Amino acid sequence: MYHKSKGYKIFSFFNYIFLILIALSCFLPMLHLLAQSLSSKAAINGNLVSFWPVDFNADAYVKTFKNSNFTGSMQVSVFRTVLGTLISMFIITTAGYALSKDFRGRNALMWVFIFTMLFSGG
Amino acid sequence: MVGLVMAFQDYKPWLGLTGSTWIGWDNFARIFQYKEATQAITNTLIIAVIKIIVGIIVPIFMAILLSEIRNMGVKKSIQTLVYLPHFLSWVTVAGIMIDILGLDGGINHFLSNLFGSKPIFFLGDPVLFRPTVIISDLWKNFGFGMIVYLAVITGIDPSYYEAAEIDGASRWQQIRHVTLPSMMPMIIVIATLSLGNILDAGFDQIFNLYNPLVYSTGDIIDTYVYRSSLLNGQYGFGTAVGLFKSGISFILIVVSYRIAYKVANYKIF
Repeated sequence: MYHKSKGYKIFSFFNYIFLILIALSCFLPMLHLLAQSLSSKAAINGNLVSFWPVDFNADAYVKTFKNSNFTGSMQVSVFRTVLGTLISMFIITTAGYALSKDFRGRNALMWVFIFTMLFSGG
Repeated sequence: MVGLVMAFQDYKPWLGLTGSTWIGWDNFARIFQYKEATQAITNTLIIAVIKIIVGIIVPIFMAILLSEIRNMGVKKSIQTLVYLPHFLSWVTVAGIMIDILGLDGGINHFLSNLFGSKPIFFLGDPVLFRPTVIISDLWKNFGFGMIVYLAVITGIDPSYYEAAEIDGASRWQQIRHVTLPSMMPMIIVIATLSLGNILDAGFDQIFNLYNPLVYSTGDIIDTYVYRSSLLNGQYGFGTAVGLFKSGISFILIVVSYRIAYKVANYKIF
């Protein structure tokens, strides 16, 4: 059995360490961002924040959500995503159904779709 | 799509598409005359090709390493952590990168503590800009690419491994002769389909990370089009560059689709 051999155990050990380091390298920057968002401005400017909030406060979030520009653009984003998904789902499923059938000009129509996928208008 | 005729015109917004003068292929000829434009094309090719190659090899490598981890809890948490960055937009990631890679950022701090070296300006040095772009793209996206390969590895019939083990194959030989051949069709499909992206070096990323200091090595077609057409008002020229890019990509996609069909019997339509 290979996982009882000594070589495999050594490999396994380094493998664990290597992958955990990689995972941390992906996770720590985000933790840093989160910690900064929950810290006071002075602590950030003084480079004191690493991975845990200093002078814990949620001022940045309160300020963001009170900003009418942000809430407005948030609404537009949500609206666009929901409505866009619904409409495009409807059109895509109906078009997909139609294109799955055999009819005259099916291939030409298909190429029109593919063509606009690849060439965007200026 | 009608806007594409701008590529063949000396387009002036106040004259409109019908009023502007037609100048034939002049805009396309200018692509090869402007030093900046040819530079952008070269940069795009170099960055995109390296990104594609690295973006295929590293996820395969990581998927194999991750499949060697037997502790399911550790495996699942590593998998989740690794693909977290994929869900951030480039604007956010660029903010993190500028923060970390800056002159007084985390990495320089770490390096100077360890080697006592001078701070390195990763995003302002023409030589270091390309590696920085490629590695940050890899950091952001390898976790997502890995999932496909992990799924393939999980789907391999365990009896192949049992048979290999009875024949006395070591773990390394099992990976070489069972795991990799089973992954091959998927690798070929992904490799050939990514050939179509060869002129796409990632506008969001470069646009958020670059600055005039690194135009010589970091300016890509999309950022160049953005600057020349929207900022300098050369709409016709910008459209021509964009159309040129689309044309090349179209040819490459058709070719790679044929290859994927011939080699791996992969068919979409």
